[in-house]
Amino acid sequence: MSKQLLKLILWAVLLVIATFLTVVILQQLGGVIAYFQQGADPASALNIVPNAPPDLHIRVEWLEPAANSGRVLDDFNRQQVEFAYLWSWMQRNISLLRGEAFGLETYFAGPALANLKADFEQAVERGLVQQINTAHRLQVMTYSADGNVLALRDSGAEFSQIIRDRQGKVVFSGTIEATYQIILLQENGRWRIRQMIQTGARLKESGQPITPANPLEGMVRTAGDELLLNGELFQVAGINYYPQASPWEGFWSKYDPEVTAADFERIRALGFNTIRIFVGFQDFGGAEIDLDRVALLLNLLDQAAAHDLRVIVTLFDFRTDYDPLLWPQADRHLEGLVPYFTKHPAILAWDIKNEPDLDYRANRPEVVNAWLAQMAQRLRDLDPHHLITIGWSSPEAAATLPSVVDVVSFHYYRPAEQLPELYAALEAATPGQPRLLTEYGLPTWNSFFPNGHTEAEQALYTADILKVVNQSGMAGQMVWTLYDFSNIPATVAGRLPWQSGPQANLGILRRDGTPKPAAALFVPGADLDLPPLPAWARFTKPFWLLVLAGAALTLVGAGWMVWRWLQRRRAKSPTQTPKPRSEKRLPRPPRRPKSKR
Amino acid sequence: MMRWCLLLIAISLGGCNRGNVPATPIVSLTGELPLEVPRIVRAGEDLNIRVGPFDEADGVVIELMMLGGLSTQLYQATVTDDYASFELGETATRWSGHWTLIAHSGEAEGRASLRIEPAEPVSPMTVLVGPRSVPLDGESRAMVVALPEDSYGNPLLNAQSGRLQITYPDGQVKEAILPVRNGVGRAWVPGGSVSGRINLGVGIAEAVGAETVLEAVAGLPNAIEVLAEPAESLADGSTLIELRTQPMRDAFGNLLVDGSLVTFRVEIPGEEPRNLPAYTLDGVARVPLQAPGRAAIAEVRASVYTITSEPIEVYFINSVIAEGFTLRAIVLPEESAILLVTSPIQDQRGQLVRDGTLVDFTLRDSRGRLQQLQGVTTGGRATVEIRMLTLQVGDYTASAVIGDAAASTTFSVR
Repeated sequence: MSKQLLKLILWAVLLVIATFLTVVILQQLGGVIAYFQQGADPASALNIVPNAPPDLHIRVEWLEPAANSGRVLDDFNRQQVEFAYLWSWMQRNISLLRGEAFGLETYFAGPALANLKADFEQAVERGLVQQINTAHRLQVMTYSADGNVLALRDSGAEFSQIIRDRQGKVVFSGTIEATYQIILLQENGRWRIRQMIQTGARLKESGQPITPANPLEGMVRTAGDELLLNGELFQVAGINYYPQASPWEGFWSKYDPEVTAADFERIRALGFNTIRIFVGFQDFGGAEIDLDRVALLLNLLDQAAAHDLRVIVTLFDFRTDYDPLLWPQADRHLEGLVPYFTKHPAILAWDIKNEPDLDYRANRPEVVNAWLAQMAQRLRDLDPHHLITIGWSSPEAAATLPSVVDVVSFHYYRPAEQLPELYAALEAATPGQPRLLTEYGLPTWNSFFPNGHTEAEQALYTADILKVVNQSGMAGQMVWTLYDFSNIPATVAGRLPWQSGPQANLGILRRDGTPKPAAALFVPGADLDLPPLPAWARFTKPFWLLVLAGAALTLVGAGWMVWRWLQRRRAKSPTQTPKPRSEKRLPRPPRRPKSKR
Repeated sequence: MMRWCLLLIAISLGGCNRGNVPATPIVSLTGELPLEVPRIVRAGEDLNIRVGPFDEADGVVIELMMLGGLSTQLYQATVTDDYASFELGETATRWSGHWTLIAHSGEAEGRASLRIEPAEPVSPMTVLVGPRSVPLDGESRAMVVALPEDSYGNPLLNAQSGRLQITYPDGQVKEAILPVRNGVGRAWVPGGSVSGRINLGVGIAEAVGAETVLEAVAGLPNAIEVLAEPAESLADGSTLIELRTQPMRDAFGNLLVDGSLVTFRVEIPGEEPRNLPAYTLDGVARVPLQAPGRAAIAEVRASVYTITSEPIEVYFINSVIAEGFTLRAIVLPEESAILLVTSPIQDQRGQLVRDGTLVDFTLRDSRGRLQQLQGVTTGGRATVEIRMLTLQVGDYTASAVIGDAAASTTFSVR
């Protein structure tokens, strides 16, 4: 190798390293500048608990005062008492979270405060309790004539607890419905709890079975591991739906009834009988439901009914914080949304959460599962007619909490040949329940990056999955998704091309609306025995072509260098005479001094 | 030396090794854990809970949770001789109410419930009374509230009824029952008929509350009678007379409580009505009233809350019975004004009337149009200044009146 070439290579390497370092330094510098521009984090600056909600969103019902209860509790004082009572719970919840009595003096006094403080001193040593109250039913039992002493009864205190032992192992997770007798005193214009005694309690551990659904006429119901509609077997042939121009976050903000109608027409024509949609938690107003969005959802469901399509409505989309302090918001979300649709015939099932098991890492599994169990119970209480499911991300995860759902559903993006075995395990873990594959698919993003697939491969994969579904007795399948998308929000898959690319190309219709080969497989009676692709076909993909070209170039380059080396060696060898072994080595010439420029 | 070192190392290694032995359960329990729990215990009593029996489960760790009140408590015990025993002291039982016990070990679980009853109430009980005073009107009453608690601060939610002793200001003592419901004992205390302090004593079982005082105050007065002293006064604009009420008493004869607000309303024709506030002392409210500047009959009423007295009349007569005086009109060219000046006015005693005495002036033009003016005396003379701009060309008659005396003069404007 010539010296010149070596220099060039060194410079190239140095350039690459310098560019990389510059990018890293700029990124870090940007982060530092952004940090200082954001200001202080209120939670750390004010020593408060992160995630403590500004609004509690806890359900409070006031019963008629008990007979002979004394003075009438006026509206102003009722609000004051309610505020003090709810915040006393919240302050205790926060104290439990911190493991110390924190700010309890504001809401407790006398024996209640003393006992609470004593308890916290022990609780820190003994374990950790996470708790959130979600509902209360209050009744005035006694109200003194001067308006300073109030005895209340909370006959519907409902709170969820997760209790761990010193090793962090969960020893209890569930909901408690309790009755309390409370005595409040008004001191210095503020109501404080002096006494709070539990007089009864009913524990319900997470994962206990919910009441079976009671579908109305024309709704899908379960029968063993099958789904029935109007007395006949209903095999779900479904698709996950987003409009082509406004997927994910834009779905509801850019909702267009005409686009929906056209898409539903297309979906029906492709042979599907069910769609799965997503209702974003914040998109629909969070704890305070946006009625305009409710109207849009109603429009979609009406259109689905008109096209004889059933809908699985996935709730709480993009809500990834399972902090128990925020659970009441979820309760209010359901209470605000679900009652509008309890009798809608188009809904096949409520899907409580999309892939909640993927949130296990950021939130503890027991917290996520406890929340799911509570939401299932809430849903059933609010809507006794429609089925409930949870869209787990894998067949393995779907064996979690089967008792709180009517239909077990899971997603699958792995090789089709592994599905029968995994499904058999799920079947054994969830006997007597319908099981539904609610997401699967293969992206047709065939680029210079690895793991690209062709449309033909997608069709083969889809056919294989459909065959497994048909043979296994699954209640149905729902492919992901209808369209290829042009714009994928970074929050969905990431910004980098190898992240967003596959996500954007999972549709069975291309961006221009023309069908890919897989689209033809959903028509009833479609031939699923597609001819296998030749073994060499994978090497026609851009990635492999690039690899082959690279390998060829490397080979050529290496061959050329070997040839050159051999040439030089051959050219030198006739003139050289071997050195005699005994010959003394010549002294090394002095190093040439560096010239100063 | 070397041997000692080796020995020490051996001992420490042995010790470490023992400490690292994992306390793994010998067997793993399944199914339901049998709990032996008393149904009811008293607050502060020892609580002994046994979980078992188990066959060959010695060494297994059982966790016990106590859920109740505002508290969650966790305990651990190891199975020894077929039982896991939890001997819990007063720390575990100090909080009364319903408790749920959950025993855990591996997949095995057992549940039971326990009621911790409050102990006997202790003194001093918290006793509150409200309102702090009660008017003796035959209807009003106050409520005494007692919060019976045991020595751990637990409320006696439905304790036996207590006693209420009411000692009225006249020494009369009444006993009443103080029923306790929902942790609050309460009873009404009627005001009685004698104003003063009512002492309240509360007792439940052996516990008593600190004696509490309730003020019984007179109810609304039966009637209000107003007096003016003197009943007749000079209308000199400065004399003060006293308006007062007769001692005011309620239906039971109790004097109105000191400091009760009484409002005297004084109506004098031609003047804005005056509302004069006063507060009672020994049932009497007093307020001074300044005489008006001219003769009038004032109507005076007093009212307390909704009770108003019958009106009385107070006479203010002319203060000046003046000897004759004269009136002059002086032209002030620099000020472009005419000054009407009286001669020094003397009263019947021959003394100059007091400075500030009101004198009514009247200016009449040739067409008979009147202009009313008012002046006050300074050094016995009363003056008014009339701007020329306000006068038209013509003849004018000016007159001044004070008390029964009058004087007049004429002048012309050209």
